Amino acid sequence: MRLTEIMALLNADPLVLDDGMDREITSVHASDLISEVLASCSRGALWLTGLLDPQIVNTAELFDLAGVVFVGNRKPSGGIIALAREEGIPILATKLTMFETCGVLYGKGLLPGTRGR
Amino acid sequence: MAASTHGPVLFRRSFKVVGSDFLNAGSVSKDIKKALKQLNVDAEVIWRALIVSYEAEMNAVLYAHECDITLEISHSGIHLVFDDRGPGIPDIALAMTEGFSTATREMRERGFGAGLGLPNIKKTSDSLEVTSTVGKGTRLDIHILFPQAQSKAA
Repeated sequence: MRLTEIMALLNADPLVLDDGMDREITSVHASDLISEVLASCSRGALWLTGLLDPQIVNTAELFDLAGVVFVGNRKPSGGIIALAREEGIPILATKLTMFETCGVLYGKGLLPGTRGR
Repeated sequence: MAASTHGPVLFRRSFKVVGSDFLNAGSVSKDIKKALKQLNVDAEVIWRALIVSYEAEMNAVLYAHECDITLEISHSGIHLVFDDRGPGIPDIALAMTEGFSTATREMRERGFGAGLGLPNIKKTSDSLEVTSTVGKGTRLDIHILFPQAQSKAA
């Protein structure tokens, strides 16, 4: 599924867009713990989180994640957005809670991020 | 020691991490990624090296005063050493247990402190040796073998 379709499904605001919006996404991490994402990291996965910290962007860039969705109507700071723009990491923000966001994407056939997938 | 890299060192670089410097946290791992990509290292090996280096780098930022990092590449694989001045680990076996963490609330609010750092490093590398002196510091000695070296070692 493309990031643009995910944006529509989640009724999400695009805070940072880049050329990767048409990239195909098959897996998703839903976590506020960075080590948890690293432990099951799959390349090109989308990351759902409620955690507002610049390390989210650094982690997404280092591990070639497809983008980050901030859930639960959380607004990332200007610093986080500037860093994401610099690193070319797409950022979306949705009013849906983590539970609702997972439900929508799982229902559309996206899979949990698993090492090697 | 099991599964260590061997042979002449073809590439060596040193880095430094300053404790609590959250502004630059992750920059050493970014430099390591760049170096390994430039050297055309296998993508899966880069991936594993990055999980290891990022976990260890963040541990240094979170817990240590400062940390010297050395990256060495030989024909057989990658050798990473993280040598910090910091509080040390009183019980290494306990620190290697998934879920055990001494993280503060602030660290947890930053998305760290899951108690997965050292276990992730161990799982992702071919060998990890932890030595630590309480009140002085901790040293992680890590080897990641290239696929052809791995099959020879098996």
